Formats: sequence, structure tokens, C-alpha cells
Amino acid sequence: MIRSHKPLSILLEDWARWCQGGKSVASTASTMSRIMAEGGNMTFGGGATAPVVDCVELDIEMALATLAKTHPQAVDTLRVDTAAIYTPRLKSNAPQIEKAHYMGVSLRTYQRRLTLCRHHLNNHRS
Amino acid sequence: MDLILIGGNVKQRENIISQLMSEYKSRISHLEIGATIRTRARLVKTPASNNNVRLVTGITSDGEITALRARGNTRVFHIYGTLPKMYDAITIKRSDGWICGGRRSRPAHVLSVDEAYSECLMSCEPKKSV
Repeated sequence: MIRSHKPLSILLEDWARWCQGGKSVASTASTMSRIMAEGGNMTFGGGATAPVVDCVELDIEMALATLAKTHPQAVDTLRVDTAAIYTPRLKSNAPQIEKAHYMGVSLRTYQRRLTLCRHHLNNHRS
Repeated sequence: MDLILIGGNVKQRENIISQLMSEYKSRISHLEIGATIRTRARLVKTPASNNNVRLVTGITSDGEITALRARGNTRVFHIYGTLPKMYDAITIKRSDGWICGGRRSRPAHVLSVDEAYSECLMSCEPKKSV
């Protein structure tokens, strides 16, 4: 369940950034932001910080994982559209038609797959 | 590959042509089939480039469409709206598409100019995946 009242477009932007960076909070973030991200738990001292397992980005990822079982190409399309994965020979800000052709599908199919993903994510919102 | 545009009135046709030419000017060429029978026969037989889309307009007979279809690498689009009289002699095939210029709302089966260009490019290209 995706627990956020932000618009889906903003959530997807955050998710794409999270996918690229691998975490929602930068290692240089302030102590307060680390406490907030980790749900009030804070471990001082050496060693690597634990991964954040309670965040909206992970909820989106889990929702997409369920969709990927039936429509893997739709999830790939969303990843390419939001630049959540690295795509060689394709700029992240390229128009949708170029992204569609990069994936080997027409613009219509590309947009239909995106709509499917957005619909699925909206159904998973609380 | 050929994108054949048929039907509609002059204004609708010009609207679609200008949109396509301005959006994809380096990747599309426009071929207006001439007025005389000799010119028409020659132009219909001219092969299309494999890399660029060729927008073909001015076709009025079923024979010309059949000749273009037979050559392959062709996608026929009919302009959405009232069908003109020429459709008495033209066959609409199941694989043909419907196109609509401008930004007005359109039914789900009618494609925008960008979608039609994309469909033409993808249906004529060999399939590839990421």
C-alpha cells in the first residue's frame, strides 16, 4: 500500500531518484532527517547504516513488482519513462516518441503501458 | 516506408501534413501524387526509402492504393470524419488506421499525428527489444 498524499507524478520522480541512488536519504543527510527516515530509530556509532525499509519508494517498488508478474513490459516502460534505469543511447529527457521507439514499440503502446502502470499504482494508494 | 494519407477535406489534410512536416522535418518527406496520369503512374512506382517515412497524398483511386500496398512497407491512414465521395471506389482494410489532426477530442481508435507516425515507423521496421 502506498501511503502518501503527494501527486503520483511527484512520487514517481522520487521513486526514480531512489532507484538510481539506491536509497531515499543521502549519507550526508542531517541527523534529524535520518531519524525521520528510519522511523524514530537511530543507531550511533560505527558500521554501515541500515537500509531504509519503510519508505514510499519501496511501496511503489513492491506495487510494481506485483504488476511485473503479469505485465513485465509495462513496468519496464515506466522505468524507462521516469529514467529509473540507465538507458544507453537515450537521453533521460527525450520525448516519449523517442523512448517508445527505443523500446521497440509504437507511441500508442508505450502510452497504454504507462496508463496501466499509473492505474495500478493509483489502486495501491491508501 | 510510406504513410499514405487519404480522405478528409483540404483543410484537414493540410493541417496533418503541416504538423508532420514541422515535427519530423528531417525524418519525413512529402510526395504529392501529380495530376496527370503519366506523373501519377511514375510516382506510385517510385520506391520509398527504408530509413525515412514518406508521406504520400493525393491518391484518389483504389488501383493506386493497391499498387502501393502490394509493394509493402506501407501504412494507410484515413482522415477521421465524414467520408468523401471518393470512398465509393476505395476499399478500407482492417489494417488501415484512422488519423485526426489538431487537439480536439477523438475516439479511442483514432490516432493523433504523432501516434500515426510512430505506428508507421514501428510497423514497417523489424522488431527489436531493449
